[in-house]
Amino acid sequence: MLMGDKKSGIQAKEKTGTRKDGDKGGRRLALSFLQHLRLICLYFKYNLLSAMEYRVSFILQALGMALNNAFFLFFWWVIFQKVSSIGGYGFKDVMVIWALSSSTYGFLHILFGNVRELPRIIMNGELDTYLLQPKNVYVNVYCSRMIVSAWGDLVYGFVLILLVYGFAPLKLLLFILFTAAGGLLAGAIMSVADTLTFYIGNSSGISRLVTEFLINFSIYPDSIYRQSVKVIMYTLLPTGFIVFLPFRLLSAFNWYGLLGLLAIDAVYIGISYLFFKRGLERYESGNLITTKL
Amino acid sequence: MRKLRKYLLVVKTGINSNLIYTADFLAGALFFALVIFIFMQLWEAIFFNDGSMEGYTVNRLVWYYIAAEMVILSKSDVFRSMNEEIKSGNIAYKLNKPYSFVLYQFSEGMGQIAVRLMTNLPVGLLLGFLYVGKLEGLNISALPAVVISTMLGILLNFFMDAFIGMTSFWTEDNSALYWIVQKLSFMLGLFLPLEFLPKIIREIALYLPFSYIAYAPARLLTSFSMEEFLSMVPIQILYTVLFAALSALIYSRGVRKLNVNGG
Repeated sequence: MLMGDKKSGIQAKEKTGTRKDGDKGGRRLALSFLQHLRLICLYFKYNLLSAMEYRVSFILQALGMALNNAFFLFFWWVIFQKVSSIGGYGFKDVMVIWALSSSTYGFLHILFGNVRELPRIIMNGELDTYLLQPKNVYVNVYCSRMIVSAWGDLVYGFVLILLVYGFAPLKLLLFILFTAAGGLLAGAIMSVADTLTFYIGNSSGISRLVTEFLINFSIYPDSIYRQSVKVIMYTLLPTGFIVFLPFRLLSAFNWYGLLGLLAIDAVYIGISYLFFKRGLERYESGNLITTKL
Repeated sequence: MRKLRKYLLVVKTGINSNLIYTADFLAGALFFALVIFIFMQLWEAIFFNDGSMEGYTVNRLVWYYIAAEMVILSKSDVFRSMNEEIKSGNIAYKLNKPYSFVLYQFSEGMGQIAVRLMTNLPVGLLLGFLYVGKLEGLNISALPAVVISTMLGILLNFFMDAFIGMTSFWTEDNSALYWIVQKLSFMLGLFLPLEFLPKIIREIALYLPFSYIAYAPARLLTSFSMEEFLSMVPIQILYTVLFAALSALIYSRGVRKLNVNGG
């Protein structure tokens, strides 16, 4: 009985210890998450301030990109003058797909402008600078740059969604959530292609192709494709989860769909991060001295 | 003759340097295959209930798109190259060399175009044959006219890009201008034949240079008539010569105000 008490006492102590360790681990994780969120915000702030130094160029690039996207609106308008629907999609539906794609890729390139640049950074040995800093390399390297023209994409998407749905707060909130989640998912997939550089050498060609495939599969109705292509769109190049499932949830919302989508996004992002982490272990510095301004 | 040999050597170098980067070379071919594939699916979905539209069947529309996209994607990187040379100041190192900067860019661009065309041509033909079969009503005797028009379309595209690239002698950032011109050529003849556009836009487009890049050769391939040939090819020649002259002019003006700092 005594022995039993002693044993259960030790077990209880171990349990308390484990719980304490768990609590500590959880707190550390939360703290690290907040620190990196702050890092992203700071990079965003300084990248934006630096872009605003050349205000005219900033406005020209953003407007140019929005106008560039608007040309596609003309294309679809002409098509829908000839037919009323394409595989079940009407003109407004295609506009929503465009709004989601445009804002998603805009969001990604504003916050994580170095996506697709990683192969060059690795090949030039510029990764050393990030390795020396006390922040997670994955987050640090990607968010240290902003693509100015991406502002045009982001704003264009919001303008389109307001034109289609009007000012509908709930739809707008969902749109913001899908923009952020889709952007992170697209970034995770592009990052996998970038990270291949650690394993097979310069993968910028693959990275460029993956980006082109992702974008091109996002801007046409998914119903035009055969089943085999759709399988790819919901696995290897998950534009289904970046644009088409969000589109369906915007049209007919359900909680299961939303939670499922966010869980799938998290899995893809987790895999991408682990792939990067494994790859980073293979990185060999060329001892190149560079400065990061 | 010696001058010609010099530039032919640059063309050869352009070909070789493009062939060496196998990954880029393959990526370009795969991208061409991707966009053709997407448009094939799109046209098939649109034509699901209808046999033809504005005189185009799925077969003719797919071949139209292949021909038009081949002209657009077989372009050189002259815009990016000129832009970088001028903005970075590297142009200063090219000015004292025994060649003309514009002709050097032209020769290098031709090398690039030759490689891209030789890659895109078999990919386009293969996809077209596999997906929709032979072009309906193909007129073999029209092929030389299509080749001439394709070459003119590529040249016109080149000189327009070079012209916009050299605006960087004056502007800090000309990428927005480039995107807009690029999209105008996409909308006025690449994505859709002009026959699909509203009448007023179609009529305006026929006066602008953009449709003479991709629309003219693709239209001649799918609906050849001597009348169309005579109405489009002379305008292609006119616009090509005009933009070549404008490129030479903008260069001679721009280089005079060039100011490079540092060394």
